[in-house]
Parts: sequence; structure tokens; C-alpha cells
Amino acid sequence: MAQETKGSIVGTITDKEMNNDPLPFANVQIEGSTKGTTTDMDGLYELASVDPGTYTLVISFVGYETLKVPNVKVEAGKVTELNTGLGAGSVSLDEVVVTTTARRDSETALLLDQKKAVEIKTSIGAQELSRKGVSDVATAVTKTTGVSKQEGSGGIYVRGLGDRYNSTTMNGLPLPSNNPSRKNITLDIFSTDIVEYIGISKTFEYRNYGDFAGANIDISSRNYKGNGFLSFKVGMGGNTNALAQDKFYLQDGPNKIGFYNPSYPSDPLSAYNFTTSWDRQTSFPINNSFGLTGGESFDLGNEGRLSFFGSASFDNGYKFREGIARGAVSTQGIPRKDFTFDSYDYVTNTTLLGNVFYRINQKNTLNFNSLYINSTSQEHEEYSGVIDIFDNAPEGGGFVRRSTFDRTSLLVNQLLGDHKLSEKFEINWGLSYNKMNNVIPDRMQNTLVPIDNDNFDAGLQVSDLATSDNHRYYQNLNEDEFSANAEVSYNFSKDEDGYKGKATFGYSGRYKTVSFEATQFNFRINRNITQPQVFPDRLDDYFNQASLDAGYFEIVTFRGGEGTPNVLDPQTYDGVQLIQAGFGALEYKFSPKFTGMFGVRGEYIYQNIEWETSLDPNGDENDFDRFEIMPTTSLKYSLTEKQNLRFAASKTYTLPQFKERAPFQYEEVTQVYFGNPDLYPSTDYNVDLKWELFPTGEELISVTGFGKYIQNPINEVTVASATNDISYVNTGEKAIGIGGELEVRKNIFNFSKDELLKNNLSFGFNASYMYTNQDFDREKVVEETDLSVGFTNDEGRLTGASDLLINADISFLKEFSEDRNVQATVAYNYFSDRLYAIGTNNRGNLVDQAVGTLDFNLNTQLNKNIGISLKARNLLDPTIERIQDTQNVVVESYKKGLNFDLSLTYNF
Amino acid sequence: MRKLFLSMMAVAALVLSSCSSDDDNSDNGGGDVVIDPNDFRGDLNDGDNVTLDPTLTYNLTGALVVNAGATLTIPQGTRIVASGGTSSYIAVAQDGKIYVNGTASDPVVMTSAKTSPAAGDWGGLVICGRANTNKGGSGGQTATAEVSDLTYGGTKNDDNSGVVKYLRIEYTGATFNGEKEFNGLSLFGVGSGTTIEYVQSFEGGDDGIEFFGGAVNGKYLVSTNSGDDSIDFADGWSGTGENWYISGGAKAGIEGSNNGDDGAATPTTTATLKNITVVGPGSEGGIFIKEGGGKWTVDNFFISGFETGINIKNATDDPAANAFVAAGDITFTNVAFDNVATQSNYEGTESFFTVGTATGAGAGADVPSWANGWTRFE
Repeated sequence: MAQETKGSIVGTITDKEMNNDPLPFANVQIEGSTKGTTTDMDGLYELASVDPGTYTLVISFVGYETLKVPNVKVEAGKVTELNTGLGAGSVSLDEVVVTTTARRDSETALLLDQKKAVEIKTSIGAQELSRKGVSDVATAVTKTTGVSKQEGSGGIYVRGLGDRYNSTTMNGLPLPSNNPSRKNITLDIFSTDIVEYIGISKTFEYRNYGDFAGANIDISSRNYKGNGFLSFKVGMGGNTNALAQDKFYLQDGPNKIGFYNPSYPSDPLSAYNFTTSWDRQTSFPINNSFGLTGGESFDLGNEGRLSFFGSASFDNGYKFREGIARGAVSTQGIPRKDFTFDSYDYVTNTTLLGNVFYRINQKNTLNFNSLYINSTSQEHEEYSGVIDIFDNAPEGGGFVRRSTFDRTSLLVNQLLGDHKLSEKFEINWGLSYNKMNNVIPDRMQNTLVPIDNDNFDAGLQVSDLATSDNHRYYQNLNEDEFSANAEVSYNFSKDEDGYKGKATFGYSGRYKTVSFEATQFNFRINRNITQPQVFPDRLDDYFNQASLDAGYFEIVTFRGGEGTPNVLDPQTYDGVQLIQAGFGALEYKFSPKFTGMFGVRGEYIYQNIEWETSLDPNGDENDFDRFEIMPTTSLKYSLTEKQNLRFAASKTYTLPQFKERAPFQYEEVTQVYFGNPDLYPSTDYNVDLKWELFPTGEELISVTGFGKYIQNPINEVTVASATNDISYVNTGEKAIGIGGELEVRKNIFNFSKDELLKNNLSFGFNASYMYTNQDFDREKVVEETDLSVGFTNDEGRLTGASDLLINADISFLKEFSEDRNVQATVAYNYFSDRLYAIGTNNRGNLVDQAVGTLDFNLNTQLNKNIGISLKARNLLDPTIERIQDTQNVVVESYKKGLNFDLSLTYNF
Repeated sequence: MRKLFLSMMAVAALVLSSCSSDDDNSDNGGGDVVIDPNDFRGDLNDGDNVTLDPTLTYNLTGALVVNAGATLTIPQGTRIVASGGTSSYIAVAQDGKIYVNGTASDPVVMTSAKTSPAAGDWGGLVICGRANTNKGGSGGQTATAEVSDLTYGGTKNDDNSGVVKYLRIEYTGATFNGEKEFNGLSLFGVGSGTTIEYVQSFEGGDDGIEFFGGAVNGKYLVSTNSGDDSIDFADGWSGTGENWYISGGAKAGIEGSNNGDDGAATPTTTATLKNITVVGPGSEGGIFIKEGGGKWTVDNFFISGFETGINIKNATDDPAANAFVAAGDITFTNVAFDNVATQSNYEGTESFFTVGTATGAGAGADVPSWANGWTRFE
């Protein structure tokens, strides 16, 4: 926060006499002031807290010619990067490279922060994201060590720990979830356009909520404090799979901009009143994007400054997949469901971000952020084959079509304040109100089966096996949350180097309400009448008023048909969660080399859930409260100026989600989930040990070892029941994760000899290797719950954990002039096999097979105004495959196709 | 049970009202249960001993659960009418007991409250016992009943859940989600100490009567016009079925399986069936050996009006069932095929059934005399 009203100058000084090695102990001084510093062993320096203005920088070293760099601009909240060589002879000013970026954008500034912090942090800034062509936050975090993303769900795994172990915040304040099954919001919906940097804390920080074991992902939203700018972006692109289709199909109803939320007809049961067609509609699969970004600042009086930043964007995308989908594979390896499928997918994202930053004076700032995201996906899937080998279309020829439009609207409002009361006292606070609405209006499903299982030529008819084989579904989830943070810090023990100690105390609280409603209209097929032939492409010919009149079907809900009491009442659940926390921490520099932080956080947690479902129409409720004490410590020892050794340890907990504790039947299309009120929180112990080396300001090598011990881990498992429903249980005594992470960022070749302009090749690599194990204890489950789970194995890996994760990238940058450059990056990502679902009843685990992906990104700045970017993603187009091990049956297999995007940015 | 909450945090004492702390508010203790015939539902708990009044009609408006230690006695002639769709059902938990004391002339009837009743109007009767099922594992582990989320199964094969005699269950089979429909009578892990005799399922939306594991015998059972299979046994049921009269079901007359996830699961379904009549139509055959099948001895079996008499999938789709047949573990003797196009579609070479004279349930395709009086067929 301290830098927000001021700027800073950072950079690397190299030694021209020594092959451009880093030059330590060089003096860097602002002319005419006392402000100055010396470069460290890496040639790295930082002049922090510089008032905005224009300066002359004086760089000197004994025996070398002193260099004066005039007109170095410093802007509030930004970092000016000035890199140069120094030598015995004179240095031309042309050799000095000065760039100014928003502070947190800069890879160098982020590395510096990482180096200085006591806690173990990883950050990825806008600059790096742009270089790698990353356009959403989910993909962004997978570029950091030990993080992977699950295909399809968008869920993030950090060191093998999934959704429940992670938390998501924006500017340090919590974000709601957009899926009733999940704790975290889908990170895909955040465009990197609104991101200044993303902070990934894999060790527990006392400021954050204790429901943590993997990582806290903090999205730091963009702001702007400089003079006015306006930038416009337009782009187009496509997916090779989508473009290869003769026709691209989507369901009827939703519009292309994603603002659509119809309710069901007023009289849905007694007459056929649905207005949208059951028949698929065609689209043209070209992706488009538009974005407008601007900022302006005004001085208010002597000290005050008011800054505005705004961003508005819309983008959409089409995807197509085809492949194999199998389900319920028996111990004998026979899939009960066996399909080929086509899946058409259309997504939109509309994002508006507004930021007002008010610097009242040098000591007080206020920051207001408002973010609105409307994110939608439309998926139209068609499955052909065996619906149930013993029941429905047992010889094949079955046809299942499902169309889902899913829309999330998120509004985040935040007010943050920072007040330096004195040199010693500082207060930070934040308030937020978030509103999340997720709707699935008018999901349609049809199931058609052969009229004659021995003669497919006889055509298809509607399936009458389950009432919901043909249905329309409406879902509405609202989540509202107020949260507040306040923190007071006090510096003490001053000596010539500054304060040695810092004490921090604070409070944070959040109050969340969740409400969920779902109504499904089932077309119950009349079994006592001869059903007509139905054509998959002409479903409206069957599902209409005439067929209802003819008695081919009736329209019912899960409560019953027309005339059943409360038949239209939705199935609901409502939840309340309150967490209040107090924390305190002491940071002390025991010696110039050794700094320690000792913190503790206490949290009071209260959860209540009420539900009313078709099975439990009178409703019921369930609640629990808990008090958790969480100690945490971070130690940092500077081995040399280039090297740090760090240690962190903490105790945290993992809460069950609302839905997981509600004995409420939650139905997805092919799978039923129900909550388990006997579920209780897990306790987590986390230890990290990290060694890091900063060869130069832009380079980093680090090695981390970590250990996780989770008592009573929670897993999603298939319960022993006739219908194989899924519930949530504390599956064993413990889970452990032990791993190592390696990160390397290195400039590998510098083509430019004169340093006039950058012309270099750089390399980034991170890898993590993990061993995870958990035990599965049936007796424990039976003792603690009313449920029974027939685990196939006594132990296994953690769900979602890949043993090996690798990210590598090579980047080439050539600068032709100050505003003409080209940058090309090739990035590779790999994850090894990972467990998707725990096997039960002698059936093997479901395992996602290893995948390697390759992306290419080209950015070029043609002149001061125009930039062009080309992204080519998924160049290897690997087959995405999930298998059931032991039986060794492929249960899912498809390819995603290549994605190309071309965009043009114009800066006014 | 409402209480106020004071935050433990001193920093901000936020007061939150109206949060009921209540993990088990259905547990009212024993002995003081009040039955309202017009709003018949709730939990009978340990010590509750409820006998219904046969002169009254009980309107089942929700779930009635007979928990462990409770007893529900339903005298002859009692009529229970269900409204409330899916939520209306009667379930007997492990160690709960039910006594249905109907007679041939005066059975107990559980039916729909609607004036024009139809299949699927309400749930059905669910009984959960402590006998073995292979659903939870091979060692007597428990499992969860699909429709009531009650626990069932165990190692006590002679478990006693009570006596059900002369009971007619009509218009059951409410759906409460895509996968689940109530059967007329669902027997989850019910032990051999239990008596199940003279029970009819009439116009059930799903299966008529189903045995999910367990060791209870079923005698004098009638299943009429089921929306799915008429009588179904699965998941390691080990028992005897005698005198079954089945007609008008939509799918299989009898469906027998071992385990849907693991056709070779143990303990293996071991069924002794005799004096059985299945009358079509039905799209899945007179009897369907499914999902591993198990070990069956079937005698005096009358099949009428099906395209396929004995249905079994090929060895690729159902290797375990074909192996049991090939090994001689599934045998049919004295089978009569009446108006059946294909006696069996078994693709193996073994002959596992012998055609003979069969009276089935007593009168071939016709309603047997023991089924007169207490049943209905239209």
C-alpha cells in the first residue's frame, strides 16, 4: 500500500568491463536529493517511495565513468525500470533502457517483492501474462509452480489439493462461488485485462481465512494513476474443430450476447406452453472480442489526487468436441453406458471494471473497485449409443441430447482504505459487498431409443424408462456476501536501518447467504399407448400440445403432476455462513540476515442450511459452529544477498461446503449427489522449506520442499447403494502430500552487444513432483456416518494430484525502437496422470491421463498506437482421455482442437 | 429451539439472530407419539408402539419412518391412502418392526388418495433389515437404501423385521429424481426371520416387488401391471420365492441379478424359485438373467405371452451371468412356454432349462386360487 501514492525506480546495472555481468555496489542516486541506494550482488537496485516527478538519476561506481540519466519519469503507483551498463568508458544515453509499468505488472518488481517478503509468495503479473498470451485467470495460475487445472470443470489444483483446499480473493477480500457444488468461483471468468497481478500464497497467511491448505489466489485488480489514456482492442479467432463442422448447433433461446434468463411458462403442467424450440439452431463459429480501457487522473489541491480507471470488454468463443463417453463400467470391464458424442460449446464474457483511487494526502488513500462480470456458456451435447446395456437401448442406437445454458452474473464492490497515522502506525481496511447470481434456465434433455432393438431401421421413439428422460430444468442460485477486514500495524525497535519489528493486529469477518432453487419439468411418457416414431432433428413434431392432448405424455415435476399439492414449489436450500476472525502477528528482524514472523489467527465459524425438497417437503435444517485457532510462522534467512532460505509452518482447517452437509438430493443429469450431515472439518498441517537464488533482477532459481498432513480428509465418493449415488465423507484418518518444486527464470542469450535495445532470449521453467497418499477406511465411515462405502483400495493418491507438473517457456524479444518491438513466446505445460474419482465396489479409479499442451504467442508493437497480438493455443492437440484403471477401460476421450486469435490494440 | 448467538470475537461483537441449532430435530424420543389419521407421517422412534385403527382411513401425507426399536402394527382392513406424491412413503429402518395383519377376506390396502389414481401417485413400502447384501462388499458391510437413505445390510441373515401378510400396495412408483423411483414393496437386506406372504403390487410405476440382497423368503406374491419389472431380486439375495403370479408388467416378468457394478460380486445371489407364473406382455422377457445373474434353481415355471421366455445378454455384455449358466449354476426345470416366440436367447451351447409340464402359480396363465379375494387385477 505504501507505494500507491508514490512511484519507484528499479533496475539492474551491469558491468560493461566484465561481459555485462551484474555490477554490485554501484551507487544509484537521485540528483539533488539524498535519496540513493547501492546495487546488490545481483546488480539490482530499488529506489522506493519516490514522489511522482521527473528526475535525473546518477549512477556511479569507483573507477568507472559516472552516468547521468536525465528525464526519468516517476509516476504514482508505477514502477520505472531503468537498466544500463556501466564501464570505464563513457556510456551513451541510448544504451539506457527505461520502461515504466504499473508497479505490479512488472516481472522485475514482482520478483523484488518476492525476494523482500518474509512470507513465501508467488505472483504473476500482467506483463508475464501478456507475454505468454494468457487471457484468463485460471490459465494464468497454471503458469505458476505446482498448479494445474482440471479439464472441463475449470477447477484448480494446487499441489494436488482441489477446490475445497483453496480460496479465492480479490484485493484481499473474499469472492463468492458461482457453482452450488464449489467453494471457489471459476477463475476462467476473470479476464486478465482486469488483472494487475495474481498473487498465489501456498503457505498460510494470518490475514487470510483459515479454510486453507492448498493456496489462496488473490486477484489484484487494475488501477491507473497516471495521465489520461484510452485504448481499444478488437479481435477475432476460431477453434479448428468448430470451424470444421458443416453446421454448428446450439439450443434455441439464448441470445449471442449472454443476457438471457427466461422463467418457465405460467401454466407449465396442464397445457404445453413452452415457447422455445426443442430443435437445435445453427450458428457461425467465429469468435469476436472487443475491449475499451481508459484512465485519467486529476490533482485535488496540493496533495490530493483522484484517479479513474475503467475497462469494458466482451468476448465470445465457439468450441467443438467429439469423442467417446462411457459410464458405469463394471468390475468385468463392461461399460453400462457406451456413447459417441458431439459437443458444441459457446461461451460469452462481458466484463466491466471501474476503479476510483483517491489519494487524500500523502498519508491517506481510498480505493473503490466495482467489477461486473456476466459469463455464460451454452453447451449442446448429443450422445449416441448404448444408454444402458441392460435396460435402455441395450444393443445401441439410443440418442441422448442435452442443451444447457449456464449464466453467472457477478457484482463485486470494494472500498479499501490505507492510513498512515504516524511513522509507526498504519491502518488498512477493506469492505466488500458481493452479489452472485447463477442461473440455468431452460436446460433441455431428450432421450430417444430404438422402436425395435433388433432393427434400428424402424426408427426411434421417446424413452419411457425414467420420468426425467425428457425434461426441461430451471435453476437459480444466489449468493450474497458482506465482508470486512481491518488491520493495524505498529513498527518498533528503530535502528539505523529502520524498524526491526512490526506488530500487526486485525479483524476480518464475512457473512454469506446462499439460496438455491430448482424446478424440473419431466415429460412423463405414457407407457400404455403406442408411441409414434420421433426424429432427432424434429423434436417439436412430438413435444407439443397435440401430443399432450393425444395422451402421449404428461408434464410433471418431482412432486407429481397437475393437482398434486405445491406441485410447482421448487426444491430449495438456503444457507448462512458467518466467519469472524481476529489475528495478531509479530515480525522481527533478529539480525540483518534473519527475519521471523509469528502469527496466530482465531476464527469462529457458523454454518446453517435449511432445505425443502420433493423427498423432504416439510423441510429441515442443520447447523454447526466451531472455533479454530491457527498458528502460523514464516522465517527468512538471507544466506547471501542473492540467496534466501525460507521456512513456513501453519495449522489450518478445511470446511465442508454447504451442499455437502445438507441431506438434500442434488441431481445432475446422470448423477445424484446428496449431502452428509455427519461430515466435519479436516485439520491441516502445512510445512514449507524454500531456497531461492536471484542471479539478476530478472532471474530466479528456487527449490521448495513441502509437506501436508490432513487429518480426516473429505472426499467425494460413491456410496454403496443400489443407484450408486455420490456423497461426501471423511474417508480416512489422514492424507499426506510431500513434494518438491523447482522454478527457474533465466535469460539464456543476449544477442545485443551494445545494449541499445533489448534483443534476447529468455527461458522459464517450473516443475513440481509430488507424492500423495491417503487411506480409505470403511469402518471409520460406517462408525461416523449412516453411510457405507465399498472402497476398492485401502489407500490411494489425492484426487486431482498429478505426480509431475511442468511448465516451460521460451521467449524472444527484439526491440527495434522505443515503440516498435516484437515478442514471441512458446509455452509448454504438462501434467502426469491424476486421479479423478476414487474406485469403489472393486471397480478401478477413474484416472485422467497425462497431457502436454503447447501454446504460441506473438505480440508486436508496430508504433506508438498500434499493437497486434496472435495467439495459437493447443498446437499439439493431444487426446484428452480418462480411463478406469484396473479394468483399463477408456471412459472419456476427445480432442479439443487448436485455437487461433488475432487481435489489434489501438492506443489513443 | 431458537437461540441467540454471541460471537466469540471480541473485536466485533456481531449479533446474529434466528439460527436454530438443531442437528436432529426429528428425534422426539419414545412413547409419546401422536398419530393424526388426516396427516399421517413422521417418525416412530425407539419405544413407540403404534397400532392403527382399522375403522379409520389414514391419509399418508409424507414420509412415515419406523425407526429402530419402534413397532407399527396395521390390523386387517386398514386403509392407508397416500397424497403428497413422492414424499409419501412408509419406511421401516433396521431394527424397526412392521406387522401387517391382513386376511384373505380383509387385506390391508395402501393406495393413492386421488380420485382417478395412476401409477406413480406415491412412494411405496420400504423395509430395511440387517441381512447380507453384496452391494456394500463381500463381508456383510452395509449399504444405503436408494429411496429413503436408510442403512441396510449386515451379517444377520435371520433378522426379523416383522410380518407382512395380505397387503395390497397400489399406484406406487413416484419418481423423485431421474434415477430413482419407488417400487411397490422394496426389501433392503431383509432377514429370513421376517414373513412376507400374500402381497400384491398393483399398478406400480417402477418394479412391483424388489429384493435388494437379504435372505427373506417371498411367498404368494402377486405383481400386476408394473411399469418396469414385476418382481426383481438382486445384490446377493439368498432366499426362496414360491407361488408368484405375475402379469401385465412392462419390462421383465422376473428380473434377477447378482450385482450391477460387479457381476461376480459375493455373496452371490442364490435364488430358489418354484411355482411361478409370468404372463406378458413385457419387453424384456418372462425372466431376465441380468447383471451376473447368480445361482438359481427354478422349477415349475409357466411363461406366457412373451417374445423371449428366458432372456440373457451375450457373454460379451454379461460375462458373469453367462459363466454361471455355463457352469450349471442356473437351472430351470419343468418350464412351460405358452405363446412365447423364443424360449431363450442364450448364445451358449449348454442346455440349462428343460421344458416340462408346469402349473406355475397354480393355474398356468390364469389367476391361481390362492390369489382370490384379497387382490385386484383391474
